[in-house]
This record gives sequence, C-alpha cells and structure tokens, in this order.
Amino acid sequence: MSNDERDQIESRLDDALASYSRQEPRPGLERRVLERIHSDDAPRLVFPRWLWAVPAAACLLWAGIFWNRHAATPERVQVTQVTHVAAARETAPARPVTPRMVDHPHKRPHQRKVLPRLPQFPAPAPVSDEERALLAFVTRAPKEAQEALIDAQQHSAEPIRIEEIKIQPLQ
Amino acid sequence: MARREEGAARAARFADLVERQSRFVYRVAYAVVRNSHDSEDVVQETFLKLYRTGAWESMRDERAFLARTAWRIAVDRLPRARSQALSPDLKSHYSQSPEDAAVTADWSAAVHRLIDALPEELRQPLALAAVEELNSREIAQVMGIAEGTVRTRIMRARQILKQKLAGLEGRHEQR
Repeated sequence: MSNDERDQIESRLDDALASYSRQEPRPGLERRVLERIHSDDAPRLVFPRWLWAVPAAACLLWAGIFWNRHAATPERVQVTQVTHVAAARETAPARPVTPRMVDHPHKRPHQRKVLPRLPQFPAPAPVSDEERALLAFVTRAPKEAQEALIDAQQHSAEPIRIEEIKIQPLQ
Repeated sequence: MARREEGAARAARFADLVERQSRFVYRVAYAVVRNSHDSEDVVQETFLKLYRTGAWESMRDERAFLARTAWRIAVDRLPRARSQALSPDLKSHYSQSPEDAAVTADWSAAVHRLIDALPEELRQPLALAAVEELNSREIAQVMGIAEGTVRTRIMRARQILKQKLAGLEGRHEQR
C-alpha cells in the first residue's frame, strides 16, 4: 500500500470518527430533562438521614437505664429451709431456721458490695426481755438465793452418775 | 421566605447546568449506546441522579464528572440498547459481514459499522475520543482505567479499522 493510500485511509477514518459521536439530540432536550426533574421534584415524604438515630438513641438510653437499675438491686430470692419430715422434727433438736440466700440461676453474678468494717462485731443490740429479767433478779434476790443458784449451776455442771445396770442372764 | 429564595436560586443554577451540558452528556451517551432514544434516557437519568443526590453542587471537574456518570448509566443499558441499535436491515447487513455491507454503503456509514463491530473494550475509548473535547486523561477518568491503557486501546482500535478499511478499498477498486 502506497503512502498516499495510507493517508487517504487515515483521513477517511478521522472523518468517520468525527461523525461517529456527532449525533444531535431532538430539539428541546433541555426542556424535557427539566420537566422530568420538576415532575420528580413534587413534594414527597422525605426522611432525613439522621432520623434513624432517634430510635437507636432511645434504645441505648433504655438499655442504660435498665442496666443501672439491674446492677443496683441484687436479684436474690430468700429461701427458707423446709423440714418435711415430722418425726425428725420431734426427735432431733430443732434446727435453727436460717434464711439462705440463693443466687437466681439465670442471672449474671454481680460484684458484691464491700461493707465498712465495724468497730465492734457483732453490732451492739438492745437488751432483750429475758436479759432484763435476769439483771433484775441478780440485783434484787437475797444472797442465799444467789448461792443456791450458783450451787445449782455447779451441780448441773457435774457429770451425771448412772449406776451400772445389772441384767440377770436368762435361764 | 429565605429558604424559598434559596431553592429558586438552586433550581436556576441546575437549569443552567442542564442548558450548558445536556448536549455533551447526550454525545457521551450516544457514543456508548448508539441510538437516540436510549441516549436521551441516559441524559435524563444522569441529570435526575445528580439532582437527587445533590452531587452536582460539589463537582470539581464538571465535564469529567458528568461524562463519568453518563458513561456508567449508558454501560448499564448497553446490552438492551445495542440490540435495539441494530435494526433488522442493519442485522441483514451484518449477516453479510460488515466488510461486504460497507462496500455497498457509503464510506462513513461503513466505518461506523466497522467501529460498532469492534470489541467494547476497544470501541468505547475510541468512541469517547471521538466526542469533542474529551482527551485521553478524561477518558481514563470516565472509564476508570489508566491513561496509558486508553491510548493503547485507541491505537489498537485504529489499527484494526485501518486494516479493514484497506481491505474494503481493495475490494471496491476490484469492482
């Protein structure tokens, strides 16, 4: 192929390429575009982007309050020991009914509060009626009565002597 | 009151943008989809998208931004648009092979058909280069590829076209 032919092809190609995208739109393109936008721009319910944050914040707040309240009050259930055998109650010395603190099984264990150290333990309690009656007796009773009480206490402290049981063999 | 005035000013600025660039956007779209109906749809969709997102207010390089948006929308429409672009009579031409069809038609139309027959990866940069005022740097931005790749593809497309045109020239002279 000669140089002239090459140049001719080159120029034909350039011309064809120039016209390849030189297509003009139908008249009134701008107007049609703007009309479409105006029709789309009609008032419609538009949610602001930040609106999703309101329920999220409410949920967080609720969770925070719930967590604080939950942490402040220990979820414990007081359980009293129940002795269900009547006979055992009669024979065995009565067990003290002690309230037992049982952790709720499905609750998370939470940190125990450290109580302040007391100067006297256990804490001083008011004098009971029995103690008050004993004190009155000690102050008012005559000396003989006190001695008798002491004597009775000593006697009760001594071991009980039981005579040996003698059983005759069977004939 | 102030908000209404601001809205009116904004609408006026957007209308100005449409007046200024709609033909350019149309040519970019046409370079890809190759039919006027789809090209106009691409133009409308491009401006509508810009208006909805508000992106048009923060464009730095207006032409590059518009070209890229239009190109993306056009490429999404491409399979449907290309099947519409090939009208039945053109398809019968293609059934002869683009070269034979080109012999019987005028040269410009023949070259257009040869360009249309190129692989998309070569045709698109070549077609965008044909859109006035789009250089290879801008085409690279539009297509999201390297500028060197754009140049290579355009060169390769031109080589293929020149070879085919030389073949056509020979056949035409024989007749």
